[in-house]
Amino acid sequence: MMVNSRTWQAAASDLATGRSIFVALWAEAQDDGCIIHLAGRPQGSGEVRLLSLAAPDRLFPSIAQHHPAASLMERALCDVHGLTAEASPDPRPWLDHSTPYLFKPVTGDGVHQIPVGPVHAGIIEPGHFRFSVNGETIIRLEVRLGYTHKATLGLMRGHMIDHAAQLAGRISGDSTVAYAFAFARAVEQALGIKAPPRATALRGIMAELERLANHFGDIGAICNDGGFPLMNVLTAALRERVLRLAATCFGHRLMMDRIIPGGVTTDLTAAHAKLVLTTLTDLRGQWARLFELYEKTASLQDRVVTSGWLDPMIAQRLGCGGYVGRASGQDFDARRDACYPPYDTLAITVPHLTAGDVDARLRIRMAELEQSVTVIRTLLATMPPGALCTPLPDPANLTTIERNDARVGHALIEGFRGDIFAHVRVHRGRIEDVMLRDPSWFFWPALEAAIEGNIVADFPLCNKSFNPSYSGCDL
Amino acid sequence: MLGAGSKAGLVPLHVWLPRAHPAAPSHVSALMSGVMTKVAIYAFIRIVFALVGPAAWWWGLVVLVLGGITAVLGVLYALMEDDIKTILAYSTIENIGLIFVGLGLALAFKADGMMLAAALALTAALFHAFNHMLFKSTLFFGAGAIQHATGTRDLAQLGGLIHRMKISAVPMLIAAMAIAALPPLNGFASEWLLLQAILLSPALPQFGLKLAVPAIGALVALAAAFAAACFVRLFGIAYLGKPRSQAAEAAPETDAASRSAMIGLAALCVIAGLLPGLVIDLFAPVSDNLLGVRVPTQSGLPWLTIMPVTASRSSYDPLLIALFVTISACLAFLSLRRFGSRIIRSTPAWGCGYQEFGPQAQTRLSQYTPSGFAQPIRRVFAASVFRAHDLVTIPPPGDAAPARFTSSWTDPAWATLYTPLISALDWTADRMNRLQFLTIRRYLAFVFAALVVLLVWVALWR
Amino acid sequence: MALITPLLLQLVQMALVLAIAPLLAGLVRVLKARLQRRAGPPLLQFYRDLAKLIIKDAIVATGTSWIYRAAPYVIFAASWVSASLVPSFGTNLLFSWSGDLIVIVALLGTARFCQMLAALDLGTAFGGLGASREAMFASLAEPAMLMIVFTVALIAGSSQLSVIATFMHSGAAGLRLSLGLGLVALVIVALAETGRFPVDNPATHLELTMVHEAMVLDYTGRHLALLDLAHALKLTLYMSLIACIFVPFGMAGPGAAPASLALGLLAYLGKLVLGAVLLAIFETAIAKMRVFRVPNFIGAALMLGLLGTLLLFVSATL
Repeated sequence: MMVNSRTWQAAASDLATGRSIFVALWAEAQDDGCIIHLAGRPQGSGEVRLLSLAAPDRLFPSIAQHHPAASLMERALCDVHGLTAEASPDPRPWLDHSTPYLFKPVTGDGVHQIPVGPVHAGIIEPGHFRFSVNGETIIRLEVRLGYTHKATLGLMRGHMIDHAAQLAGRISGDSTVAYAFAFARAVEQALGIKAPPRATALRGIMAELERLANHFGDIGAICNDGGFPLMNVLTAALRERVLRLAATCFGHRLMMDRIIPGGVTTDLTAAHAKLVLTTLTDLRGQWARLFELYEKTASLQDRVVTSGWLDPMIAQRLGCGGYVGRASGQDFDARRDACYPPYDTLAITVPHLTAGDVDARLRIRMAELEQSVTVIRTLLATMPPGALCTPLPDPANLTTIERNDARVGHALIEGFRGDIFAHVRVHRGRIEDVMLRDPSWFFWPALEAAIEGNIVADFPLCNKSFNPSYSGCDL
Repeated sequence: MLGAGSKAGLVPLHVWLPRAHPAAPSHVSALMSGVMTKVAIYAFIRIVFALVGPAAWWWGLVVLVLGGITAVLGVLYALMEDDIKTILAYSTIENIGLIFVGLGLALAFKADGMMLAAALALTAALFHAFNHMLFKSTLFFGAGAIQHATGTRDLAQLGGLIHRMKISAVPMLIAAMAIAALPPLNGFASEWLLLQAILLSPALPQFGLKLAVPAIGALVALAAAFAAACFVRLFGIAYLGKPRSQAAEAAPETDAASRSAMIGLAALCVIAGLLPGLVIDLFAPVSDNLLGVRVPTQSGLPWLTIMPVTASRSSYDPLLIALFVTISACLAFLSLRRFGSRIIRSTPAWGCGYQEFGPQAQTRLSQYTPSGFAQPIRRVFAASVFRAHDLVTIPPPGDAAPARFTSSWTDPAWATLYTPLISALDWTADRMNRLQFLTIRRYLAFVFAALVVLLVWVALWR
Repeated sequence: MALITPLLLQLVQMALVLAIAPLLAGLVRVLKARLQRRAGPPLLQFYRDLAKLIIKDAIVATGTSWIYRAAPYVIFAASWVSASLVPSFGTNLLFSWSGDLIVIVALLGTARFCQMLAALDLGTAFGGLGASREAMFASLAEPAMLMIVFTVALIAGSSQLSVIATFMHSGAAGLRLSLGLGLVALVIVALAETGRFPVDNPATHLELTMVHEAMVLDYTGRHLALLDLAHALKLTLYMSLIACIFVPFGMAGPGAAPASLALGLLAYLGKLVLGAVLLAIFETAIAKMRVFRVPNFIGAALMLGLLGTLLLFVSATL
């Protein structure tokens, strides 16, 4: 819906008061200036609404001045499209690394800095962390990203849907299923088609397998950064089994490009379905012992409990989803609240805690593992027969009216990190405008806030418990 | 005790010292720390060992406890300061504490008739006093050189001086290692003697001493470990790394006279460290005079070893140890030259690939500050003793205000002793003020009353 | 002639600790890997790494002084000399009288001092980070170690290691409460001083959590080889120390026959393997501590050592 500046500002203050939750902010280049899109959803609902504002002079009223959660996205779109956000509280470049970067100010005697990254000693994504510290006391942490900027969204624009779908699956490799799922649903909504029931069930199975694999990886990695490598090697084995199961059943370890707009590409045979069930039963027995190990290792508990506390107020203000939000009291899960197939027929319970520390984020993951298994079992038990894919309408066969009519669709999908938002506008079989928003956009500022009161040596542990995606934000 | 203690800087009578010593020019500071405090020790020894007559065992206990506390608190203070000369002054307090520990032990041994052990403890104290004069003077000269070259004594403004003050950095390093009680230098030799004296003290009969001495031993060890941290911090931040200010970047080398003074004193530190037997023998007449016993003559022993009591108990041969270390290092160097690469290449230090400011500017921001270096120790030890407290305020997301850091600590001696004392004095002075306006008759009455009180007191005392 | 055999034994001791230090460190690595169900590196990997480092060119950070280049040699030499002064297979070492246990501890202190200076010489955040943490840990570990030395010295009547070893080997010490306290304290100090769990993680890749690794982060080539070797020597030293004080079984006495020397050597190697197994199990079973929990951990060692000493001050038989 195109709005004027006043409605735009009113929407921004709605975000600030918490009546609606910020979802995404992006811009679209036009022949004459730009159009800025703002996506939000009412508190407690998964129903996303869009507002669009024309910015003919490449100027637009800043959302971040009312609502800080929008700050990073606003800075990113200003860099990409050469826009200026009026009255922005933070006009520094984000993706653009061509000018010297001024970090946020810190005052006090004896303050010094620890710069870490973008090249790290471990195998992780590149990002720069600037700690202003006094010895071990962290006074401020600021994250600087943009090192994996590939202009993925720009590459998708103007391309055919199938090509764009492949790119969508590569925005953040660990969430390839969730991204492909989100993109496919957005395209399907735009084109007014529905994936066949068997395809949606398979999508659900793949999404849950992806969640299992990543949660296993995360739980081990958190313990590893807490100085307990044993847990890491044990969960790495579990993760590997899930990935091998995916390779056997769907032909790809990460199930990349298995979900396409219209449906899925790979079917699950009855034998494989049985394999999934037996593997899950086996895994479940193993991880129960691991969680016991986690809970009984007092030295490990001492590391994770109370570390990296994220204030539920801040989690709410930033609109943090996923395990980060749910560990800090936010009761939101797109599978339940956005209610998309196959989850619309399932009863999804959303585990949430209020402790907000590393331990809580880890326990949320553990609870979600259980839930994923239940979901997969239910889906397998009620697997409908039928086609795998609904063909997309051929642009050549469209009526003239349909041809000239650009169609919009969006979707909110729960990936393993949290809710992924996808928005597309399709015109004659090509992507005209696209936005894929990772939940990590809100994790980074949350991490910067959660580090208060922690010491330098505990940062890796806190960071790993958030596990934000770098690539997902460096679009 | 009160007089000598306050002159020498025993806690809690130390508060004047770190304010007075740095205020003087550096060579005078050197004299004040190196010699003047020793006058107090001399006076203490003269009075307590020679004039007062037979000592009670609890005198030793009092001196020991005060000495131990002084040693640890002195160096903890030093770790919290950024001003080089204040650090050195506080470190003087620490060393005075160690010397008094030695003296306290000597007193206790003497009271119990263990004259040989008393001689050992006294010798350790005297040896340490002598050593302290050597390295502390060197350090104050070095501090003076830094102040002269850069115009500041603030560690937070220094850095990288070793590249510009190439020669004077060497005696400074030697003195820093000596005061940190590292073998094979002299500070370790005297501390080793002190520890040997402590090892003899289970033979003391009094229970109070039996319980106190191990704790004092722990305090001495704690002080030595803190001293190492303190002087790593002082030398490492002032002389190593990158300059933290323009002044430090342009610092000239100090003049030849003070260079040679520093080198001379540092050489004495090395000599006294390698040949402690010779120095110990120098103090034999003192203990002979005061206690009637002397530590066995050391200089005749093979390989110039020191062996304070008997061979089977303990011995230390710094010369041999130094020789072994040198030979091992040379062996490593030569075999690496023979079998390994000889090439040294140079690149900027690893900055995690962050290139924006260039390596130079980035490291200037990212070097540890002196207070940052001491923060872990401050948090662990000073939080209770000095009520050290760090306050961090991080603005919420979206707030452009700067994050704030403040660090504060209070001196318990000021807080619990002097501030109440001063307010009490103020209060009394206020009351006394009224007395100024009395008639002559009343004045006379006061004088008479005072006289009567005095006479009564004298009579009762007798 | 009377001097030749002890001199030879002392030289053998020097060569022995140098030769087996990398093996011991490698063994702990392998055992840990196996306990974590990983294949782990080959047992001899440490030697290969050293050989590789030695032939590589050394890269030194710009703006560092001679201290940075000299420090590895001093650290290595001090660690080697200290390790050579701890009796391993025989109770008597020729040069034992040149330094008692206090001297050995202080010599390691000299190495640490140089290590911290070299770290600060880099002028980077990680150098300062490692050095400041090391300073905090050392300020408790050194007094704790000294209290252990006191405990042992008061029992054996000497702080001289050869005398202590002979006394312990003779069995005259018996079972004592103070000795038990000393053992626990020494194990804690050894873990802290050698940078093992739960104080430091020798295998971590997280710069922000490092202690020892942060100080040597920019060292390369032969300098790094020396520092790695020195670190391995320190591990050997502490294991030998625990073995010679608390499990002196099988050590050869003064003037022993070659057969008993060989037996002593076997016993020594056996003790090291046992030590490595125990260390690997311990390191696998617990998580690294928070940085500011470590002072409590080492502080406990200080208190135990102090208690041990106190007991002996009160009664020589405890």
